[in-house]
Amino acid sequence: MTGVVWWLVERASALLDAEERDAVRGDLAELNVAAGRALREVVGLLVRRQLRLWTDWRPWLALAGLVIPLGMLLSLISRQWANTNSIYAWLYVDNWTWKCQRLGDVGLVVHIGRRSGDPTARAVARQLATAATPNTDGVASRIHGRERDPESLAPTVSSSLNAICIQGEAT
Amino acid sequence: MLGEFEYLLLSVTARLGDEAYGAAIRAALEQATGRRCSVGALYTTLDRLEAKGLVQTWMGEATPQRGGRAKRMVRVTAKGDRQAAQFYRTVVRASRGVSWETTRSMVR
Repeated sequence: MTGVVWWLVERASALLDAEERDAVRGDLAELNVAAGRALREVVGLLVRRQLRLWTDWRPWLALAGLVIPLGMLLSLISRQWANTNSIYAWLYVDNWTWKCQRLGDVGLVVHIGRRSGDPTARAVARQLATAATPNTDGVASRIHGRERDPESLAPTVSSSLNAICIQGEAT
Repeated sequence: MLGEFEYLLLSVTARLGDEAYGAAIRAALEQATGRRCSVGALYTTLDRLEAKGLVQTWMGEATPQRGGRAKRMVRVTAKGDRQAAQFYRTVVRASRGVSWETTRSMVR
């Protein structure tokens, strides 16, 4: 236990400047300070050093003028990003199976969407499946057991690999 | 005006003379006051006093009893000497005629 505490003392004092670290460790060794007290003292010195930095006006200016505004901006951006992406994350987590591993990116979304009870997710899956199979007419329709959706004239984003993947999933 | 701990540190350092360094100052302070003195309190106060120009510090030699680590040596500057003397005179003046002062005189 004492060994662990001394190891912590070493780690904590490593945060001090080289000269101060030497002086502090030397003092602790010379005065035969117990491990627990040594740790408290070194941590206390580190805390005092940090607190002393805040007695100057510059850190406060940086906090109020830079850190807080940037933090709020980043928070807003990440919230907006999360709002647009949470549905996909939820679909993925809620519907993932081992079978998904052998599907391509588009195939995975189609697979997940198809399994989902959510109408939006099913619609997205249908659109993707159709867009992904422009040269394999009717494959996506076969997957869903429906006629080809007339709205599904989305831009071509597929490769025949995805088409095969989706077709394989359907069978 | 100095603080109480600053004055104590200056007094002990002045008394230790050439032997004034971290561990020695700390041991002397604990002995004089009967209170524990932490490394944090000692070194942050020394930094403050050095920034005010009241003490001067430098790294001294290493000794085997310190595990081969260097000492932080301390010396009171002329300005520190004046400020400590002024603090002492102020305390003595302010203490004249107070109950604990007369009690101390009677005990003597």
